[in-house]
Amino acid sequence: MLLKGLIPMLRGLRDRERFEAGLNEEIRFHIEQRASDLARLRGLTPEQALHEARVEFGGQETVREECRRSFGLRWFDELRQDLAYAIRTLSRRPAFASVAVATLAVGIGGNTAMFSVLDAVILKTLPVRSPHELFLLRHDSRIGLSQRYSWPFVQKLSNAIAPYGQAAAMTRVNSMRLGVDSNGPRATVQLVSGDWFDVIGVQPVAGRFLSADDNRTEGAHPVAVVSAVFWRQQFGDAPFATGREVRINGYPLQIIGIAPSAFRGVLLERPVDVWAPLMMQHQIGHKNNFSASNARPDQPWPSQDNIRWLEVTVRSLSPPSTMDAALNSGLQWDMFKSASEETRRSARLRLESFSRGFSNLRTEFGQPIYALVATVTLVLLIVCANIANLLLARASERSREIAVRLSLGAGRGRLVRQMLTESLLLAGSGAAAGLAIAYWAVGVLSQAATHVGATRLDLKLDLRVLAFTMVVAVLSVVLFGLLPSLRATKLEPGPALKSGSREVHGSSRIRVAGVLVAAQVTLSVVLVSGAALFLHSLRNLASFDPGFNASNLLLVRLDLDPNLKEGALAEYLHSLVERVNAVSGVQSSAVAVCALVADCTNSTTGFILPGYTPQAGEQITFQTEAVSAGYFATAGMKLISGREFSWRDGANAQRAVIINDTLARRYFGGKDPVGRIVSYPHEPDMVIVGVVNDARVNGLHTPAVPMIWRSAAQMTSISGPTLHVRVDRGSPRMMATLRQVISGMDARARVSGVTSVSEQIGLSLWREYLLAGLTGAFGALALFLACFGLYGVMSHSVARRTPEMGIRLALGAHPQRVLWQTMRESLTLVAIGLAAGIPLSLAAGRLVHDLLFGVTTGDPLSVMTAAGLLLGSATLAAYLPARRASRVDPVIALRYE
Amino acid sequence: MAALLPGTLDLLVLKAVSLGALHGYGVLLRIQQITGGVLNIEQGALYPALYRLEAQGFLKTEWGVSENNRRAKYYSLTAAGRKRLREEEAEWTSVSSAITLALSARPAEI
Repeated sequence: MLLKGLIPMLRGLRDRERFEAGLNEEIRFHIEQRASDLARLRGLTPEQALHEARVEFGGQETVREECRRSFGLRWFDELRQDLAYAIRTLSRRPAFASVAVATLAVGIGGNTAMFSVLDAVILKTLPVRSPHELFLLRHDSRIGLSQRYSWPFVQKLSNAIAPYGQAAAMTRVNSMRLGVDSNGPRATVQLVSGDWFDVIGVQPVAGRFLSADDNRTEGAHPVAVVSAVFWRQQFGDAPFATGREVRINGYPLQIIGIAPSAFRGVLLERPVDVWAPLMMQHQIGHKNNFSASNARPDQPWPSQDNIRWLEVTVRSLSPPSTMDAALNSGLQWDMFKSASEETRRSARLRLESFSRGFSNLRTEFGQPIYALVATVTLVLLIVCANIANLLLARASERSREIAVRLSLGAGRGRLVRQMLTESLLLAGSGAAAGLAIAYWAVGVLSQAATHVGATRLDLKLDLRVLAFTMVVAVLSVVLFGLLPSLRATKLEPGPALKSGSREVHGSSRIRVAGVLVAAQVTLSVVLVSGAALFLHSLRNLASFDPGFNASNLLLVRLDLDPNLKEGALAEYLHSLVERVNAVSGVQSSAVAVCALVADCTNSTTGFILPGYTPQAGEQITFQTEAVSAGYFATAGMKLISGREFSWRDGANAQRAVIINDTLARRYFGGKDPVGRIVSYPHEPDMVIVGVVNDARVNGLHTPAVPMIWRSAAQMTSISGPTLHVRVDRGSPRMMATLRQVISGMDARARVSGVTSVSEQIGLSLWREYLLAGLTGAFGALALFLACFGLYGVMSHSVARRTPEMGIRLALGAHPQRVLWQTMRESLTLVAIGLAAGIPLSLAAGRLVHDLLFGVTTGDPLSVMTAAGLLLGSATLAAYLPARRASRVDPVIALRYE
Repeated sequence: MAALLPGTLDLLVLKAVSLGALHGYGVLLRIQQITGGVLNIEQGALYPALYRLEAQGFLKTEWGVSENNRRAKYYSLTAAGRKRLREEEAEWTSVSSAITLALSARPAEI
């Protein structure tokens, strides 16, 4: 019924003029026919007949209006009228309209941008078949072992859960050399088990995906699947054909299929170019992200049960309890062959939802995103409260007009609708401008995401986001438009008209406005104190002593000739360092496998410390690193005892290691560990030659863990080390010079990037900068709006009471007293707002505590700073109208009445 | 002439149009004709009814040429309109026979 009626109605809308013309013609035809019948039947003259016919027909306009209404057009007509009216009234108040639209644009735009981030990072599921069936394997054990598994274990697991689901293994995504040239292009590569695509649930767009048969024997399956984007980059528009190959770290793999363009892997911010069978690990040189104990990492990994390097995803087709039982029916004991019986018995396997894939951004930025979503929501609420206040003021100015219209018989619903149309127009314009802001913000944020390790983050203003924006716009109309329009039309026309041009129910309006202002103050305190917390945390971090000297320390990432091994490697590193040290402006330099604050945490489990008795089930795990002579001096770390490495700690000398203070204190009690032995199965014993201070080498956020450094000159091979260079001034020119000197030396080392430690630290503080910057900006806006609201309400109240002030002043009241009384009114509102806002801020501070660095829970100092700031600015906003009140000229004030 | 019972205008319009496509004035004449001129239909009330029935999908319209060669809008029944007419007829019949029955009651029959 409704739908059937909709079609002619829409037709009527589309062809409005034709509708009207048809209606007119029909009525004219009717009247003329009737006239000619009347003339014939009653013998009237044509003029008389026409007149008679018109009289019989009745009011034509009424009939036309009835027809329009019957046809369902009236609603539309009224909307059009209301819109025209709204545009007229708003354009008469350009200041009000622009403040409302601009603040709404910021509010709605901020919400839209944050929603698009929330959607992309936190809400969206993988573009695969039934993503909710996907899980990631995790385990709990008494001691924290890495959440990685060996290939033999994955196979056992696969068999054990076969009736209830399917398991597949994958490595993390790594960037690898494409082709032979180490300075050439790179590709992101992920190694996966044969049935991985099947388990994840994607279909190839061309060719085929890997199968179990592509992953049987170590080194025997030189095949690869590539992404659609990668295929286009490499082969242009050429259709898929077998026989094409891709070289990964120089090793050729034959391309057997192309993944659909929507599927870029399961790691949100690192789209994968190439998937290869994990049996090819050794051949293509996948050497990162593993945990080993009592194993040979230089040999192929797949057959070794003691190398854990795989993550496992499970497609579960059974209820969780069944799957849980299957996972823990003895299987969990096989997880860590080298662990003690007790550790293995305490282990427990479980599944974690994997419907959204991995995301480093989600892990690191999940909480900040929620904090920012809360921020923009608060901002929008404040904006709405502000506009509601402005609308209330306007409505009371229009009360006479409204009273006239009500007494002339206008329906209240009709008036409310008209006012809501005005609000809708404001919200619509605000949303449109907000979308423009969001479009810009999303571009900035996508770009910014590359600073935090995402090679690509798809932020789009898609239909979901647009729908969200519309909902937000309509909600804000309800928030700011409904109350003023309902109040404005709740009038007794009599008194309203009698009171002349002056507004009615002024005092109750001011009460409502006061509540709105107090609410704005409350929300602003929360926002401003949040900003203060994040700023405080940022300042703490930026001034935090990491335990090394970050200034004027440059990092030169190198690609070394893979043939450099053993003695030749040590000799080469020595000559490299000496030549760099000879460059003018360089104080010292040293080589390390990992760059400082690069967060490449390599750890090794299974150390043996003679003289230290491990507790039952304890496994000794250290973060491991290899550095050359002069590293600690260059980095600015302090020796607590013993000595630095020297170039004499080479291949022929005894293995030397240096440990950090945490390790020394945890495993050697109070005794000096220098000279003690550290051993590792199948390797020569290592002697501790020095102890250095605890430094946050993994980044400012990560406290030091027990750490052990080996001498780089005693390593058999090193790939992609970083040269640390202490310089007089870390200028871009210095960076260019270093690049030039090293590149000019010989072909055995190439520079793949130059940066500085302080730059890296700056990037690692990106999250803090983002939070402090955005909450600071929104906090400032909130503060401004709250003061603006207070100023507006007080100005209005003063204007309304000008005669009263005049009389009081005329009767001899002291201006100071009038000033104070007016101020007191404002300050009461502020005090109420603060009373509610301070506890809320303290509670909110506890919620974001995990994001803060060196800030006590709820940080009263930040909250008090915020409250003080608010009180100060609000006092100023209240002072201006109050001063006006105290300077009222009694004569003018009374004449006004 | 008797006044029209409320709600019966739609029924009469549908019935009139069911006998053949008509323009608005024709509907008026046809109703007067088929009711023997007993019922008085206000001319102004006819058009809103026609527009409502069209918006509800019971009538379809088409511009044609009248008896005296003038452009006029002709109304005819849609399939839905025919169904609606049958329903309204059945309802009217049952209501009117019930009322007739009620009015013919005698004290002795109670």
